[in-house]
Amino acid sequence: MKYYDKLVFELSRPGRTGYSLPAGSLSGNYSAPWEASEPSAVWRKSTLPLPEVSEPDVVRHYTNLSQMNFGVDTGFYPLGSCTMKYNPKINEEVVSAFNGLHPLQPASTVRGARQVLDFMDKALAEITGMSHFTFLPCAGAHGELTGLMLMKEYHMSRGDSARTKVIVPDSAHGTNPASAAVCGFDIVVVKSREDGLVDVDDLRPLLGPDIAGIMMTNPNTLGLFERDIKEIASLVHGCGGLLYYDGANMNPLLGVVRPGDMGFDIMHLNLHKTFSTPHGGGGPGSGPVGVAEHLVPLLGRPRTSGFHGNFGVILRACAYILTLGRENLLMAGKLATLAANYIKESLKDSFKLPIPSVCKHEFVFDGLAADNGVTTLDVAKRLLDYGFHAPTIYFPLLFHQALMIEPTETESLETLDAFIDVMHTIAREAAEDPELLHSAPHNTPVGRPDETAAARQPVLKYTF
Amino acid sequence: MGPEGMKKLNSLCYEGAHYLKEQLLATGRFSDPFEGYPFLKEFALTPMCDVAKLQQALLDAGFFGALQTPEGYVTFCVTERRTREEIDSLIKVIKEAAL
Repeated sequence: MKYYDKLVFELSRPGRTGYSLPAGSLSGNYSAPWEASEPSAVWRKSTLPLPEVSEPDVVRHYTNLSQMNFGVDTGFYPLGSCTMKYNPKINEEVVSAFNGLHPLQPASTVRGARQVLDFMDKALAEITGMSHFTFLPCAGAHGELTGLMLMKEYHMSRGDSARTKVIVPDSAHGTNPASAAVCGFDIVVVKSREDGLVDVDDLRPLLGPDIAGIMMTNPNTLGLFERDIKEIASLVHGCGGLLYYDGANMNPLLGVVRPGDMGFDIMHLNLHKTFSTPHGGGGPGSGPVGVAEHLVPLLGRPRTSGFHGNFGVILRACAYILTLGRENLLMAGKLATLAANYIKESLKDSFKLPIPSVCKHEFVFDGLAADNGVTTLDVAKRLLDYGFHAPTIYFPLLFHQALMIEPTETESLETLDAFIDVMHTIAREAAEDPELLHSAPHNTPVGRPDETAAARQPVLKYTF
Repeated sequence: MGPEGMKKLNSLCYEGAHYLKEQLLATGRFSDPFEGYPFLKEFALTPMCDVAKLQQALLDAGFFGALQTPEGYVTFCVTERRTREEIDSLIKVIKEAAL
């Protein structure tokens, strides 16, 4: 990566411009030029503090900045829980065809866009086993909140206001309890067994007339399929609760098994993950929420965003589904699972594998197998030297040195082998020269920034 | 755009929007509920014609405008990319339509 640390303001020179506006002016057609026509009280008093730069200045500046980034277009990005699969470029072409739409256009002029939404409703229902979807939510956690509002609406519509608690496994994504709390529920934690799956014996005594439902990912955060899901669904339904499926880990299930068939009543999908649209850095995302047939009448009630959510992301996901087609979509989940297990089995001698069973799309190591003082953070930093993005680290919280790897189905065998070789090399380096890892990365433009200072005392404003 | 570009851009929007408003009022099909209030690139008028027919006539001619607000006004907007010729042809549509 090339080091580049300029601010666009530092490139600014008085009078330099890079814009091109339509020639001329409408003045003369209009009764008076604007400076003469409006009272001076509404005029801007100061000049705009914007940089004055040419077009090449701008293009080079942002191109240079982009080269300081690591992305799925530059290399392998095995960030566990994030499904950083390759984003086909044809999806962007499809979106560009819809760029001119305005959300308030009459329905008769946006038939194509409505057809996309109808198709996606049917396609996602078929893929997940749900009945219908709403496309309002703009992200995964937004979908969780929408889904929980539906859960609350369901109970309230039956006149049951006693269901104030939501059960969340101790391995859950942090957004699950957070969303439930924002929605006004109290959180009850169900423990995992030693094999990483929800402890059904721990769940049973938690169930009762105060339980609104349970939130689960399947496979769970450890990448393990919850084999007892049918029993869990039966127990939760038996006490009058609903099952919410967090679709963050849907990728390995594509074409294999459907949340609706497992007994889930409400779910969200992360279109930006499972259906391959660019994400990261806070968006844009799309978290459509699907419901089982008995909840369809409630689906449109929580208006959690305007219009139809992030339509551009829905379009990209639509292009992805149509490009793959039924046959290849059925393969995506299996290949993602195969890739994760291949890496896991290839590295388990060098890294601690706390749960050795077959995983789905991702798995968790608990640091290096050898205890030589080298931490998971050191391993992650050293990976950057070798041109790989680091896996997710220190999550899930169940393991002290967690290192969570999710390769996705879009990587070649050569890429997976190259990653495995580098991980073995790092394990050797940790044994032979721990200091090399403690001080890594050595080949990146920035080494180990003071993350606390960056978070607590960020300098975000240019001083003129 | 830089500071000068933003100012010029805004001038074009301003001049186009004010020209459009002046011409729309001259058709006699609208009144100005906010006379004297400053505005930049968009404005609301009170329609004195059938809004559905107005919107359809504009759509048929390739314009998307006269969006209705909850209060019953219709809104128009002009950006720097619109030319005087386009504004004139929009006015012609409104003048000639049976509203």
